[in-house]
Amino acid sequence: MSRAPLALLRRVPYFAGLPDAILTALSAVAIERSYRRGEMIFLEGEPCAGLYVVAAGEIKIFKLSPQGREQILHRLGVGGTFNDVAVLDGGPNPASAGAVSDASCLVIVRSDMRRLAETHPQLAWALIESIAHRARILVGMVEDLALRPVKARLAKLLLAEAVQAAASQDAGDDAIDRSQMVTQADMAARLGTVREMVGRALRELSEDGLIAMDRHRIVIQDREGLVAVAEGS
Amino acid sequence: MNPRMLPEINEALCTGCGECVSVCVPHALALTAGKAVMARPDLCAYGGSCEPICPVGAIQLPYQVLFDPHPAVSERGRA
Repeated sequence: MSRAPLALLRRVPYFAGLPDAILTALSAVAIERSYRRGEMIFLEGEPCAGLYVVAAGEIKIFKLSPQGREQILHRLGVGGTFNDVAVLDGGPNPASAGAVSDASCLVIVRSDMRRLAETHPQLAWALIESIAHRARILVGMVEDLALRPVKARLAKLLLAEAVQAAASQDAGDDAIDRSQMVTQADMAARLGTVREMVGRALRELSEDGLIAMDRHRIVIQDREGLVAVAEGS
Repeated sequence: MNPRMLPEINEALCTGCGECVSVCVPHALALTAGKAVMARPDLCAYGGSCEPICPVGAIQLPYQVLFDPHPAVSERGRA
């Protein structure tokens, strides 16, 4: 079972400063939905069901090319929100969402969100902040795709994954969850390239002595060197 | 300890062409009922040759990414 709605909403970064009265009102209208690993949550172009808050597990937001190639826009864990854009503009879902692991989400439908935002300006401001944050991430992604070669993007991704793994270990979570692991296909989908390019870049980084492939581990041996590759220096 | 990680085979995608079985040096993979299966998981060396050879992307190797727990070794390597 996932945590209680009110406690979960407090974990949403941009809801954190909201008074309990608003969070209680949000939790009262939230609907919980569960998904199996690999299950679709919604499809791009479908009418918007509402704002989603990840209550358990991990989900991905992605776009598909006409040839079926996947570009992952975001991966979200507990407390992450998605579909904010469609909730605000009332348009269709701008991207698809799927469960990376067994997951559950709280869904707050658009009409409830709008009613609460109209009566609680702090909630409206929190939503604006979340959209601004999302825009900042997307601008960074555009910069990466347009200006950085695959090897640099891969170096950046590996560093981010290792930082996340180190944070999990610091939090006392030594067991490695499958959702915390990445395949070459996962990396390709996040980097806007194909698996073959990821394989080639991993080989190059390994030959440069920056990483080592050790069975199911990619060990970053030279952190500073990998940062230099990520920054293109 | 974590359980031994193994390549993941998507049975729905696998066409049973046998390419992965032919490149698996330790013979951990086999064809059973027209599908590739991890017949001898104890032999799998996680070499990764099965993944790129699969024409339909049915085999994937999950990786954990982490910093070197012994950074002094890598510092020496960079000097």
